[in-house]
Amino acid sequence: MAKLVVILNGAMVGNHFIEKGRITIGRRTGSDIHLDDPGVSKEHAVIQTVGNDHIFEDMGSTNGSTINGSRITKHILQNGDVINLGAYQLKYANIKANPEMDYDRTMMIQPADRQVAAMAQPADEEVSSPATARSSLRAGFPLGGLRGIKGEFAGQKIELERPLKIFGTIGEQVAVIMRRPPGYFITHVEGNKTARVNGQAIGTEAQALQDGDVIEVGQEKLEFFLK
Amino acid sequence: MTKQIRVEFASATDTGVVRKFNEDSIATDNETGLMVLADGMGGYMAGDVASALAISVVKEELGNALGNLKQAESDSDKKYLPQTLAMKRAAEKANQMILRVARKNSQCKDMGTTLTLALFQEDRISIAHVGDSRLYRLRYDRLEQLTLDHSLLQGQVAAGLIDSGDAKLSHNRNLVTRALGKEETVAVDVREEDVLPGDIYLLCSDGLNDMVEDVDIELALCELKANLPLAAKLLVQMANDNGGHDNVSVVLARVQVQPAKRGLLDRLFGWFRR
Repeated sequence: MAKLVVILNGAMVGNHFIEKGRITIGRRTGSDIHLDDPGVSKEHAVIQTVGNDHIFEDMGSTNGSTINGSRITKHILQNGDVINLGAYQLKYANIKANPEMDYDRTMMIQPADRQVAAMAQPADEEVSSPATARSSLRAGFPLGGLRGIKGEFAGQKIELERPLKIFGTIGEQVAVIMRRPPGYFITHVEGNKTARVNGQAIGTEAQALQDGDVIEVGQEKLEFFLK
Repeated sequence: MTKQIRVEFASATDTGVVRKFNEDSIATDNETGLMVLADGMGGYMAGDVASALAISVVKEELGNALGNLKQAESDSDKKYLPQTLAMKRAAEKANQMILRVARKNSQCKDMGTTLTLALFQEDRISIAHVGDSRLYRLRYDRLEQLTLDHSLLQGQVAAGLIDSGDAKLSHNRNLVTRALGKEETVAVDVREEDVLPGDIYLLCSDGLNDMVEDVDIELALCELKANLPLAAKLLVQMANDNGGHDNVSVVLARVQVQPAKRGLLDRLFGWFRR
Protein backbone atom coordinates (compact mmCIF):
# COMPACT_ATOMS: atom_id res chain seq x y z
CA MET A 1 0.00 0.00 0.00
CA ALA A 2 1.32 3.39 -0.95
CA LYS A 3 1.26 6.23 1.55
CA LEU A 4 2.18 9.86 1.92
CA VAL A 5 3.86 11.01 5.11
CA VAL A 6 2.98 14.64 5.84
CA ILE A 7 5.89 16.60 7.31
CA LEU A 8 5.87 20.17 8.69
CA ASN A 9 9.03 21.86 9.94
CA GLY A 10 10.83 18.53 9.95
CA ALA A 11 8.24 16.79 12.12
CA MET A 12 5.79 14.17 10.96
CA VAL A 13 2.27 15.50 11.33
CA GLY A 14 0.24 12.85 9.49
CA ASN A 15 -0.04 9.79 7.32
CA HIS A 16 -2.24 9.40 4.29
CA PHE A 17 -2.80 6.09 2.51
CA ILE A 18 -3.51 6.33 -1.20
CA GLU A 19 -6.74 4.37 -1.50
CA LYS A 20 -8.68 6.42 -4.02
CA GLY A 21 -8.18 6.88 -7.73
CA ARG A 22 -7.80 10.64 -7.30
CA ILE A 23 -6.55 12.53 -4.28
CA THR A 24 -6.78 16.29 -3.97
CA ILE A 25 -4.19 18.32 -2.10
CA GLY A 26 -4.73 21.95 -1.11
CA ARG A 27 -5.52 24.67 1.40
CA ARG A 28 -9.27 24.30 0.81
CA THR A 29 -10.98 22.48 3.70
CA GLY A 30 -12.36 19.27 2.29
CA SER A 31 -9.22 18.53 0.30
CA ASP A 32 -8.22 14.90 0.77
CA ILE A 33 -4.91 16.16 2.10
CA HIS A 34 -5.61 19.49 3.72
CA LEU A 35 -2.49 21.65 4.13
CA ASP A 36 -3.14 24.88 5.98
CA ASP A 37 -0.33 27.14 4.85
CA PRO A 38 -0.42 30.44 2.91
CA GLY A 39 2.19 29.04 0.46
CA VAL A 40 -0.24 26.29 -0.57
CA SER A 41 -2.97 27.09 -3.11
CA LYS A 42 -6.60 26.16 -2.45
CA GLU A 43 -6.45 23.47 -5.15
CA HIS A 44 -2.73 22.93 -5.29
CA ALA A 45 -2.26 19.45 -6.75
CA VAL A 46 -3.79 16.03 -7.38
CA ILE A 47 -2.45 12.50 -7.32
CA GLN A 48 -4.03 10.07 -9.79
CA THR A 49 -3.74 6.29 -9.61
CA VAL A 50 -3.24 4.47 -12.91
CA GLY A 51 -2.36 0.79 -12.64
CA ASN A 52 0.66 0.61 -10.34
CA ASP A 53 1.48 4.28 -10.79
CA HIS A 54 0.63 7.31 -8.71
CA ILE A 55 0.95 10.40 -10.86
CA PHE A 56 1.43 13.75 -9.12
CA GLU A 57 0.19 16.83 -10.98
CA ASP A 58 0.40 20.47 -9.95
CA MET A 59 -2.94 22.16 -10.76
CA GLY A 60 -1.38 25.50 -11.66
CA SER A 61 -0.70 26.52 -8.06
CA THR A 62 0.60 30.02 -7.31
CA ASN A 63 3.87 28.91 -5.75
CA GLY A 64 4.34 25.65 -7.60
CA SER A 65 5.56 22.25 -6.42
CA THR A 66 8.99 20.70 -6.28
CA ILE A 67 9.89 17.03 -6.05
CA ASN A 68 13.35 16.14 -4.72
CA GLY A 69 14.30 19.77 -5.31
CA SER A 70 13.17 20.04 -8.95
CA ARG A 71 10.22 22.13 -10.04
CA ILE A 72 7.64 19.86 -11.70
CA THR A 73 4.11 19.97 -13.08
CA LYS A 74 3.63 16.24 -13.57
CA HIS A 75 5.58 13.31 -12.21
CA ILE A 76 5.23 9.55 -11.74
CA LEU A 77 6.00 9.10 -8.05
CA GLN A 78 8.93 6.88 -7.08
CA ASN A 79 9.46 5.31 -3.67
CA GLY A 80 11.16 7.88 -1.42
CA ASP A 81 10.18 10.96 -3.45
CA VAL A 82 9.82 14.13 -1.36
CA ILE A 83 7.24 16.67 -2.56
CA ASN A 84 7.49 20.28 -1.34
CA LEU A 85 4.35 22.45 -1.24
CA GLY A 86 4.61 25.67 0.74
CA ALA A 87 5.95 24.88 4.19
CA TYR A 88 4.86 21.25 3.92
CA GLN A 89 6.68 18.17 2.71
CA LEU A 90 4.99 14.98 1.53
CA LYS A 91 7.11 11.87 1.48
CA TYR A 92 5.92 9.13 -0.87
CA ALA A 93 6.46 5.59 0.37
CA ASN A 94 5.59 2.61 -1.79
CA ILE A 95 7.77 -0.48 -1.75
CA LYS A 96 6.07 -1.54 -4.97
CA ALA A 97 7.31 1.60 -6.71
CA ASN A 98 10.93 0.65 -6.23
CA PRO A 99 12.65 0.23 -9.58
CA GLU A 100 14.68 -2.69 -8.23
CA MET A 101 11.59 -4.76 -7.41
CA ASP A 102 10.62 -7.59 -9.72
CA TYR A 103 8.18 -5.53 -11.66
CA ASP A 104 9.08 -6.84 -15.04
CA ARG A 105 7.02 -10.00 -14.84
CA THR A 106 4.45 -9.56 -17.55
CA MET A 107 0.91 -9.64 -16.24
CA MET A 108 -2.56 -9.11 -17.64
CA ILE A 109 -4.12 -6.10 -15.90
CA GLN A 110 -7.31 -6.38 -13.88
CA PRO A 111 -10.68 -5.54 -15.49
CA ALA A 112 -11.12 -2.35 -13.43
CA ASP A 113 -7.95 -0.95 -14.91
CA ARG A 114 -8.99 -1.94 -18.40
CA GLN A 115 -11.37 1.00 -18.63
CA VAL A 116 -8.52 3.44 -18.37
CA ALA A 117 -6.66 1.46 -20.96
CA ALA A 118 -9.65 1.25 -23.29
CA MET A 119 -10.28 4.95 -23.00
CA ALA A 120 -6.68 5.49 -23.85
CA GLN A 121 -6.36 3.10 -26.79
CA PRO A 122 -4.72 5.05 -29.56
CA ALA A 123 -6.46 5.37 -32.90
CA ASP A 124 -3.52 7.07 -34.53
CA GLU A 125 -0.60 4.88 -35.59
CA GLU A 126 1.83 7.77 -35.41
CA VAL A 127 1.41 8.23 -31.68
CA SER A 128 4.68 8.08 -29.82
CA SER A 129 5.59 4.95 -28.00
CA PRO A 130 6.80 4.84 -24.41
CA ALA A 131 10.53 4.74 -23.96
CA THR A 132 11.05 2.31 -21.13
CA ALA A 133 14.71 1.34 -21.13
CA ARG A 134 16.84 2.15 -18.12
CA SER A 135 20.04 3.58 -19.51
CA SER A 136 21.14 4.90 -16.14
CA LEU A 137 22.30 1.39 -15.35
CA ARG A 138 25.27 1.95 -17.62
CA ALA A 139 26.80 4.09 -14.90
CA GLY A 140 28.77 1.08 -13.62
CA PHE A 141 30.43 0.35 -16.96
CA PRO A 142 34.17 1.00 -17.32
CA LEU A 143 35.36 3.70 -19.72
CA GLY A 144 38.14 3.30 -22.26
CA GLY A 145 39.04 4.16 -25.82
CA LEU A 146 41.45 3.92 -28.69
CA ARG A 147 44.42 5.91 -29.96
CA GLY A 148 44.92 5.77 -33.72
CA ILE A 149 48.41 4.69 -34.74
CA LYS A 150 47.79 4.21 -38.45
CA GLY A 151 44.82 4.67 -40.81
CA GLU A 152 41.68 6.82 -40.63
CA PHE A 153 42.12 7.60 -36.93
CA ALA A 154 45.90 8.18 -36.93
CA GLY A 155 46.84 10.66 -34.22
CA GLN A 156 43.27 10.74 -32.86
CA LYS A 157 41.84 9.65 -29.55
CA ILE A 158 38.41 7.99 -29.58
CA GLU A 159 36.44 7.41 -26.39
CA LEU A 160 34.23 4.34 -26.56
CA GLU A 161 31.12 5.46 -24.66
CA ARG A 162 28.43 3.66 -26.65
CA PRO A 163 27.75 -0.07 -26.11
CA LEU A 164 29.55 -1.00 -29.33
CA LYS A 165 31.47 0.37 -32.31
CA ILE A 166 32.82 -1.29 -35.44
CA PHE A 167 36.26 -0.75 -37.01
CA GLY A 168 37.87 -1.89 -40.26
CA THR A 169 36.89 -2.00 -43.92
CA ILE A 170 33.25 -2.87 -44.72
CA GLY A 171 33.01 -6.01 -46.82
CA GLU A 172 36.64 -6.95 -46.20
CA GLN A 173 37.55 -7.05 -42.55
CA VAL A 174 35.42 -5.67 -39.71
CA ALA A 175 35.60 -6.17 -35.96
CA VAL A 176 33.30 -4.83 -33.24
CA ILE A 177 34.43 -3.51 -29.85
CA MET A 178 31.83 -3.91 -27.10
CA ARG A 179 31.65 -1.95 -23.86
CA ARG A 180 30.48 -4.28 -21.09
CA PRO A 181 30.43 -4.26 -17.25
CA PRO A 182 33.55 -6.48 -16.95
CA GLY A 183 35.42 -4.42 -19.57
CA TYR A 184 35.86 -4.11 -23.34
CA PHE A 185 35.72 -7.02 -25.77
CA ILE A 186 36.56 -7.40 -29.44
CA THR A 187 34.74 -9.80 -31.80
CA HIS A 188 35.01 -10.64 -35.49
CA VAL A 189 32.11 -9.31 -37.62
CA GLU A 190 32.96 -9.98 -41.28
CA GLY A 191 35.75 -10.89 -43.66
CA ASN A 192 37.69 -14.07 -44.39
CA LYS A 193 40.47 -13.09 -42.03
CA THR A 194 39.88 -11.85 -38.52
CA ALA A 195 41.43 -8.76 -36.96
CA ARG A 196 44.61 -9.11 -34.89
CA VAL A 197 45.40 -8.12 -31.33
CA ASN A 198 49.11 -7.81 -30.52
CA GLY A 199 49.82 -9.65 -33.76
CA GLN A 200 47.53 -12.61 -32.96
CA ALA A 201 44.36 -13.32 -34.98
CA ILE A 202 41.35 -12.94 -32.65
CA GLY A 203 39.43 -15.95 -33.98
CA THR A 204 35.64 -16.09 -33.82
CA GLU A 205 35.09 -15.84 -30.06
CA ALA A 206 34.91 -12.56 -28.15
CA GLN A 207 38.26 -11.57 -26.66
CA ALA A 208 38.79 -9.28 -23.65
CA LEU A 209 40.92 -6.18 -24.34
CA GLN A 210 43.72 -5.18 -21.95
CA ASP A 211 45.15 -1.69 -21.48
CA GLY A 212 47.83 -1.15 -24.15
CA ASP A 213 46.62 -3.85 -26.57
CA VAL A 214 47.34 -3.05 -30.22
CA ILE A 215 44.52 -3.82 -32.67
CA GLU A 216 44.98 -4.25 -36.41
CA VAL A 217 41.80 -4.34 -38.48
CA GLY A 218 41.31 -3.38 -42.14
CA GLN A 219 43.61 -0.40 -42.75
CA GLU A 220 43.55 0.59 -39.07
CA LYS A 221 46.12 0.18 -36.37
CA LEU A 222 44.83 1.25 -32.96
CA GLU A 223 45.98 1.13 -29.35
CA PHE A 224 43.39 0.33 -26.67
CA PHE A 225 43.44 2.19 -23.34
CA LEU A 226 41.40 1.98 -20.16
CA LYS A 227 40.71 5.09 -18.12
CA MET B 1 10.87 -9.04 -64.12
CA THR B 2 9.27 -10.67 -61.09
CA LYS B 3 11.03 -10.08 -57.87
CA GLN B 4 11.31 -12.79 -55.30
CA ILE B 5 11.97 -11.88 -51.71
CA ARG B 6 14.66 -13.78 -49.98
CA VAL B 7 14.87 -13.46 -46.22
CA GLU B 8 17.71 -14.43 -43.94
CA PHE B 9 16.80 -15.12 -40.30
CA ALA B 10 18.85 -15.16 -37.11
CA SER B 11 17.68 -15.46 -33.52
CA ALA B 12 18.74 -15.68 -29.89
CA THR B 13 16.86 -16.23 -26.64
CA ASP B 14 18.02 -16.20 -23.03
CA THR B 15 16.59 -16.59 -19.54
CA GLY B 16 18.18 -13.31 -18.46
CA VAL B 17 20.05 -12.59 -15.24
CA VAL B 18 17.17 -12.57 -12.74
CA ARG B 19 14.65 -15.22 -13.80
CA LYS B 20 14.93 -18.97 -13.32
CA PHE B 21 12.96 -20.03 -16.40
CA ASN B 22 12.67 -18.85 -19.95
CA GLU B 23 8.99 -18.40 -20.79
CA ASP B 24 9.65 -16.88 -24.24
CA SER B 25 9.23 -19.00 -27.36
CA ILE B 26 10.42 -18.14 -30.86
CA ALA B 27 10.36 -19.71 -34.32
CA THR B 28 11.33 -18.91 -37.89
CA ASP B 29 10.50 -20.73 -41.12
CA ASN B 30 12.51 -20.11 -44.26
CA GLU B 31 10.01 -21.98 -46.42
CA THR B 32 7.05 -19.71 -45.66
CA GLY B 33 9.00 -16.60 -44.61
CA LEU B 34 7.48 -16.60 -41.13
CA MET B 35 8.90 -15.22 -37.88
CA VAL B 36 7.02 -15.64 -34.57
CA LEU B 37 7.65 -14.69 -30.96
CA ALA B 38 5.55 -15.33 -27.84
CA ASP B 39 6.24 -14.11 -24.29
CA GLY B 40 4.44 -16.38 -21.83
CA MET B 41 3.05 -15.36 -18.45
CA GLY B 42 1.07 -16.64 -15.48
CA GLY B 43 0.02 -20.07 -14.34
CA TYR B 44 2.10 -22.26 -12.07
CA MET B 45 5.30 -21.97 -14.13
CA ALA B 46 3.11 -22.49 -17.19
CA GLY B 47 3.99 -19.33 -19.10
CA ASP B 48 6.31 -21.37 -21.27
CA VAL B 49 3.48 -23.84 -22.01
CA ALA B 50 1.31 -20.98 -23.28
CA SER B 51 4.03 -19.43 -25.42
CA ALA B 52 5.15 -22.76 -26.91
CA LEU B 53 1.54 -23.69 -27.62
CA ALA B 54 0.90 -20.37 -29.36
CA ILE B 55 3.92 -20.87 -31.62
CA SER B 56 3.05 -24.44 -32.58
CA VAL B 57 -0.62 -23.68 -33.28
CA VAL B 58 0.29 -20.64 -35.39
CA LYS B 59 2.87 -22.57 -37.40
CA GLU B 60 0.51 -25.43 -38.09
CA GLU B 61 -2.59 -23.33 -38.82
CA LEU B 62 -0.68 -20.99 -41.06
CA GLY B 63 1.11 -23.83 -42.82
CA ASN B 64 -2.25 -25.34 -43.73
CA ALA B 65 -3.89 -22.04 -44.61
CA LEU B 66 -1.10 -20.77 -46.86
CA GLY B 67 -1.36 -23.93 -48.97
CA ASN B 68 -5.06 -23.34 -49.68
CA LEU B 69 -5.36 -19.61 -50.11
CA LYS B 70 -7.90 -18.22 -52.51
CA GLN B 71 -8.16 -14.57 -53.34
CA ALA B 72 -11.89 -14.88 -52.67
CA GLU B 73 -11.04 -15.37 -49.03
CA SER B 74 -10.05 -11.76 -48.85
CA ASP B 75 -12.24 -9.56 -46.69
CA SER B 76 -15.14 -7.74 -48.30
CA ASP B 77 -13.42 -4.39 -48.69
CA LYS B 78 -10.17 -6.05 -49.84
CA LYS B 79 -8.25 -4.16 -47.20
CA TYR B 80 -5.94 -7.02 -46.32
CA LEU B 81 -4.17 -9.82 -48.16
CA PRO B 82 -5.62 -13.31 -47.59
CA GLN B 83 -2.31 -14.23 -45.90
CA THR B 84 -2.82 -11.48 -43.35
CA LEU B 85 -6.32 -12.68 -42.56
CA ALA B 86 -5.02 -16.23 -42.22
CA MET B 87 -2.50 -14.97 -39.63
CA LYS B 88 -5.30 -13.32 -37.68
CA ARG B 89 -7.29 -16.56 -37.69
CA ALA B 90 -4.22 -18.54 -36.61
CA ALA B 91 -3.74 -16.23 -33.62
CA GLU B 92 -7.41 -16.62 -32.70
CA LYS B 93 -7.08 -20.40 -32.93
CA ALA B 94 -4.03 -20.28 -30.64
CA ASN B 95 -6.08 -18.29 -28.13
CA GLN B 96 -8.77 -20.97 -28.04
CA MET B 97 -6.22 -23.76 -27.73
CA ILE B 98 -4.50 -22.09 -24.77
CA LEU B 99 -7.86 -21.60 -23.04
CA ARG B 100 -8.76 -25.24 -23.62
CA VAL B 101 -5.48 -26.56 -22.20
CA ALA B 102 -5.69 -24.17 -19.24
CA ARG B 103 -9.17 -25.46 -18.36
CA LYS B 104 -8.05 -29.09 -18.41
CA ASN B 105 -4.88 -28.64 -16.36
CA SER B 106 -5.00 -26.89 -13.01
CA GLN B 107 -1.27 -26.15 -13.23
CA CYS B 108 -1.90 -24.19 -16.41
CA LYS B 109 -4.71 -22.09 -14.92
CA ASP B 110 -4.37 -18.40 -15.79
CA MET B 111 -1.54 -18.95 -18.21
CA GLY B 112 -1.33 -16.56 -21.12
CA THR B 113 1.05 -15.20 -23.70
CA THR B 114 1.78 -12.33 -26.01
CA LEU B 115 2.09 -13.17 -29.71
CA THR B 116 3.71 -11.25 -32.54
CA LEU B 117 4.22 -12.72 -35.98
CA ALA B 118 5.35 -11.44 -39.34
CA LEU B 119 5.14 -13.07 -42.75
CA PHE B 120 7.21 -12.03 -45.77
CA GLN B 121 5.66 -12.45 -49.21
CA GLU B 122 6.84 -10.93 -52.47
CA ASP B 123 7.24 -7.23 -51.66
CA ARG B 124 4.98 -7.14 -48.58
CA ILE B 125 5.21 -7.99 -44.93
CA SER B 126 2.09 -8.95 -42.96
CA ILE B 127 2.15 -8.31 -39.23
CA ALA B 128 -0.22 -9.59 -36.54
CA HIS B 129 0.13 -9.00 -32.81
CA VAL B 130 -1.42 -9.25 -29.37
CA GLY B 131 0.38 -7.83 -26.32
CA ASP B 132 3.67 -6.00 -25.90
CA SER B 133 6.18 -8.00 -27.96
CA ARG B 134 7.43 -5.57 -30.57
CA LEU B 135 8.34 -5.59 -34.25
CA TYR B 136 10.85 -2.96 -35.34
CA ARG B 137 12.19 -2.14 -38.79
CA LEU B 138 15.61 -0.74 -39.61
CA ARG B 139 15.44 1.10 -42.95
CA TYR B 140 18.18 3.42 -44.22
CA ASP B 141 19.82 2.99 -40.79
CA ARG B 142 16.78 4.35 -38.97
CA LEU B 143 14.89 2.25 -36.42
CA GLU B 144 11.11 2.42 -36.43
CA GLN B 145 8.60 0.56 -34.26
CA LEU B 146 5.89 -1.08 -36.37
CA THR B 147 3.68 -2.46 -33.59
CA LEU B 148 2.03 -0.52 -30.78
CA ASP B 149 2.10 -2.30 -27.42
CA HIS B 150 -1.21 -3.42 -26.00
CA SER B 151 -0.12 -2.20 -22.59
CA LEU B 152 -1.44 0.11 -19.94
CA LEU B 153 1.67 2.24 -20.34
CA GLN B 154 1.11 2.72 -24.08
CA GLY B 155 -2.47 3.70 -23.26
CA GLN B 156 -1.31 6.25 -20.70
CA VAL B 157 1.14 7.78 -23.14
CA ALA B 158 -1.41 7.92 -25.95
CA ALA B 159 -3.96 9.59 -23.65
CA GLY B 160 -1.38 12.20 -22.67
CA LEU B 161 -1.56 11.08 -19.03
CA ILE B 162 2.18 10.72 -19.01
CA ASP B 163 4.99 11.88 -21.21
CA SER B 164 6.75 9.38 -23.48
CA GLY B 165 10.06 10.36 -21.89
CA ASP B 166 8.69 9.86 -18.36
CA ALA B 167 7.46 6.37 -19.20
CA LYS B 168 10.69 4.82 -17.96
CA LEU B 169 9.65 5.95 -14.47
CA SER B 170 6.37 4.06 -14.68
CA HIS B 171 5.63 0.89 -12.77
CA ASN B 172 3.13 -0.23 -15.39
CA ARG B 173 5.68 -1.51 -17.87
CA ASN B 174 4.63 -5.09 -17.26
CA LEU B 175 0.87 -4.64 -17.53
CA VAL B 176 -0.51 -5.82 -20.86
CA THR B 177 -4.09 -5.03 -21.81
CA ARG B 178 -4.37 -7.89 -24.30
CA ALA B 179 -2.99 -11.41 -24.28
CA LEU B 180 -3.79 -14.86 -25.63
CA GLY B 181 -5.46 -17.23 -23.15
CA LYS B 182 -7.36 -14.62 -21.16
CA GLU B 183 -10.78 -14.42 -22.81
CA GLU B 184 -12.88 -16.37 -25.32
CA THR B 185 -12.21 -13.82 -28.02
CA VAL B 186 -9.10 -11.80 -28.59
CA ALA B 187 -8.61 -8.69 -30.70
CA VAL B 188 -5.64 -9.26 -33.02
CA ASP B 189 -4.08 -6.17 -34.61
CA VAL B 190 -2.96 -6.66 -38.20
CA ARG B 191 -0.93 -4.44 -40.48
CA GLU B 192 0.75 -4.67 -43.88
CA GLU B 193 3.82 -2.81 -45.03
CA ASP B 194 5.99 -2.60 -48.13
CA VAL B 195 9.31 -4.39 -47.96
CA LEU B 196 12.51 -2.94 -49.43
CA PRO B 197 15.80 -4.71 -50.07
CA GLY B 198 18.19 -4.02 -47.22
CA ASP B 199 15.41 -3.75 -44.62
CA ILE B 200 16.15 -5.44 -41.33
CA TYR B 201 13.27 -6.54 -39.09
CA LEU B 202 13.59 -7.12 -35.36
CA LEU B 203 11.04 -9.09 -33.38
CA CYS B 204 11.66 -8.98 -29.62
CA SER B 205 10.20 -9.63 -26.20
CA ASP B 206 9.97 -6.74 -23.71
CA GLY B 207 13.10 -8.11 -22.02
CA LEU B 208 15.01 -6.38 -24.83
CA ASN B 209 13.23 -3.04 -25.21
CA ASP B 210 12.80 -2.57 -21.44
CA MET B 211 16.52 -3.01 -20.85
CA VAL B 212 18.11 -1.52 -24.00
CA GLU B 213 17.32 1.97 -25.30
CA ASP B 214 15.99 2.22 -28.86
CA VAL B 215 19.04 4.28 -29.86
CA ASP B 216 21.31 1.44 -28.74
CA ILE B 217 19.21 -1.18 -30.54
CA GLU B 218 19.49 1.00 -33.64
CA LEU B 219 23.25 1.29 -33.20
CA ALA B 220 23.69 -2.48 -32.85
CA LEU B 221 21.62 -3.19 -35.99
CA CYS B 222 23.38 -0.50 -38.06
CA GLU B 223 26.86 -1.64 -37.07
CA LEU B 224 26.29 -5.38 -37.21
CA LYS B 225 23.94 -5.83 -40.16
CA ALA B 226 26.70 -7.70 -42.00
CA ASN B 227 26.54 -10.44 -39.37
CA LEU B 228 22.96 -11.11 -38.32
CA PRO B 229 23.65 -14.01 -35.90
CA LEU B 230 26.21 -11.84 -34.08
CA ALA B 231 23.73 -8.94 -33.94
CA ALA B 232 21.11 -11.20 -32.31
CA LYS B 233 23.63 -12.53 -29.81
CA LEU B 234 24.96 -9.08 -28.87
CA LEU B 235 21.47 -7.58 -28.45
CA VAL B 236 20.69 -10.30 -25.89
CA GLN B 237 24.06 -9.65 -24.25
CA MET B 238 23.32 -5.90 -24.05
CA ALA B 239 20.00 -6.61 -22.27
CA ASN B 240 21.79 -8.84 -19.77
CA ASP B 241 24.65 -6.36 -19.28
CA ASN B 242 22.02 -3.72 -18.38
CA GLY B 243 20.54 -5.95 -15.70
CA GLY B 244 18.69 -8.71 -17.58
CA HIS B 245 15.55 -8.35 -15.45
CA ASP B 246 13.45 -10.48 -17.81
CA ASN B 247 13.71 -13.25 -20.38
CA VAL B 248 15.05 -11.74 -23.58
CA SER B 249 14.39 -12.98 -27.11
CA VAL B 250 15.39 -11.54 -30.45
CA VAL B 251 14.49 -12.64 -33.99
CA LEU B 252 16.14 -10.80 -36.88
CA ALA B 253 15.29 -10.89 -40.58
CA ARG B 254 17.21 -9.30 -43.42
CA VAL B 255 15.55 -8.80 -46.79
CA GLN B 256 17.49 -9.53 -49.94
CA VAL B 257 16.13 -9.32 -53.44
CA GLN B 258 17.16 -11.69 -56.14
CA PRO B 259 15.73 -11.95 -59.62
CA ALA B 260 13.53 -15.03 -59.76
CA LYS B 261 13.83 -15.60 -63.49
CA ARG B 262 16.18 -13.80 -65.79
CA GLY B 263 14.47 -12.68 -68.97
CA LEU B 264 16.12 -12.92 -72.39
CA LEU B 265 17.11 -9.25 -72.47
CA ASP B 266 18.44 -9.53 -68.99
CA ARG B 267 20.57 -12.49 -69.88
CA LEU B 268 21.79 -10.72 -73.00
CA PHE B 269 22.81 -7.61 -71.12
CA GLY B 270 24.31 -9.75 -68.45
CA TRP B 271 26.35 -11.46 -71.12
CA PHE B 272 27.51 -8.16 -72.64
CA ARG B 273 28.55 -6.83 -69.27
CA ARG B 274 30.91 -9.70 -68.68
